Amino acid sequence: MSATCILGLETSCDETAVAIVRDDGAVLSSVVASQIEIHRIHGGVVPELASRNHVLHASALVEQALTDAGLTLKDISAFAATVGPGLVSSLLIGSTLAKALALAEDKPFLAINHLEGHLLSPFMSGTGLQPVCSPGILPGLVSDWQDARATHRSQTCATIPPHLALIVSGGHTMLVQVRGVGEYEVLGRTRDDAAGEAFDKVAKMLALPYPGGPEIDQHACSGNRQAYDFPRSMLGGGSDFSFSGLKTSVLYLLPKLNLADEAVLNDVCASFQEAVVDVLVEKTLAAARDQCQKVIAISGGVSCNSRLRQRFAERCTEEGFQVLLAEPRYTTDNAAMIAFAAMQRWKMGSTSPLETDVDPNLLLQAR
Amino acid sequence: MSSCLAIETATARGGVAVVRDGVTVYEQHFASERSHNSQLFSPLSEALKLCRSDLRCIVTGTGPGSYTGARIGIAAAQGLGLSLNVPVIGLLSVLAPEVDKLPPEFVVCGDARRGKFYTARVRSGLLEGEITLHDAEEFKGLRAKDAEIAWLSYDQKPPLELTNITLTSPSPSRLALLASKMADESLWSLEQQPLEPHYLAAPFVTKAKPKKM
Repeated sequence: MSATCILGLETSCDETAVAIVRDDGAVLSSVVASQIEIHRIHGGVVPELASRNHVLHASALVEQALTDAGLTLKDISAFAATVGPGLVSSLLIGSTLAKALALAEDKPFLAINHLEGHLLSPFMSGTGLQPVCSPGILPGLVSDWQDARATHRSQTCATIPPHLALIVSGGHTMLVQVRGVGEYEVLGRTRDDAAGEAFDKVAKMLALPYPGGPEIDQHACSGNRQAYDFPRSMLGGGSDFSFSGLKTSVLYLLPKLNLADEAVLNDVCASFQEAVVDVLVEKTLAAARDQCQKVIAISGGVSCNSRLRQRFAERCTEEGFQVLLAEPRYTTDNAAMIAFAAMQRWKMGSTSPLETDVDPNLLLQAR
Repeated sequence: MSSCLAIETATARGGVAVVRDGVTVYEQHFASERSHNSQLFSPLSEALKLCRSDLRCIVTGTGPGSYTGARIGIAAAQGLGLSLNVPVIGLLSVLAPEVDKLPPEFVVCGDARRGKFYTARVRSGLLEGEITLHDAEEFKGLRAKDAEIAWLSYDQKPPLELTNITLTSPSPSRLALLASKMADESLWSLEQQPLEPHYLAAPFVTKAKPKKM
């Protein structure tokens, strides 16, 4: 009997992505048509531009993903797509394409929550049952990361263990108690800007190119993390986040500084980044302690930040937590995480009707 | 025998049709402001049952109209085309108005937003010239000058509330019929072109207001 393969599409924002995942978790192919260069000149994502480009590339990317995986549509067992949250005009492209493929191939369709894709992405590996270390992973982190993933895989590929998850991206910052696939309780979320949004906005203030996260990360490597004492908003110990005060603090500091001096710019980046990382790490650990969780999984675009990865590794080792970080290539928007989440749903016997509509404000608990 | 499947979602009245050997064998409409994506697949499923075995091409209306709506039709057509291995083409929705007796020459017009109005002149089933944009005064002048020709609109109400503009919607059957009359070489040649809605203008990008320090 041939393996189950799911083809997933992700078009919730500005990346057009298609991937094929096998039932053992192997990512057989994962292709992304990035629109970063198109949106860079506008300093952020322009929704109409994003959907114009999705419709031009999505179909060709499906063919590319099949070719890369050495498969045909006949080998695909089900088709999945992100149906929210995201930009409605972008979501519609991937969702409609996936449903049409499902209809024509007479195969099931699975509507996937983008947040669930991120949430489960730390449990993925590009090579199925043989987890590999991706370039860029910190040495101190590799053993824990591999051990935890291998342990969970050896139980059963479909099992996602109970854990505490932090999703941290340009659109979301949330702490989630995960009891199993589909059993999610959001413990806290940002009350204003997402962490990634704060990175992008501060980068814009510093006249750094979009997307700002990687730029700040790079400048921070050469900066002094204690140069400026930016606020750490802990909001009284709860699990909610707030980054707007930090952003404003940077805004008020800048007129006093000479940003043309590279050293000053690096210090601002390092100090700002440290403030964000402090909040993310300490609140996540506090929530894990409160919920008696031993496993912490981190996902989303900001989880690619080198300082965040380093600090999570250090603090989790100190406190005896097992930490799983999404592989860097699966931290930003990608379809492999959507196909992977769909595979977990598929194994539970879940499919979605073709009447399923997209929902730009889809909640994590809703599906 | 061969059939053509048409998907029309560029306006609030979506539709699916199958034409076989010049005869409409299936046509279904649905009214939808924002849910084409959820309403399209039931009629599409029915249509596919009728034409899967002898499908020659899939055609989708490219507007002008709702860009998001047109993109839904395009994505659906592309998904079917990938699976069924038939050419997928786009034809302007203005070529296929739903009227009982189509005059040999007519103009389709509509609100293009931001104070502009579009006109598309169709003669013998073909677009004459380009689809053009006009401001309100110019548009009114054109309508007055072209009093002899039928003017149609796919909008919910006549642009500028002008009289003598017949409100209608694009017909998926007519789209399928137009495609069915095309030679194989034309279909495959059209299929090579990027399939996207007919955009009346570049995307409007809102500029952020400068922040006060």
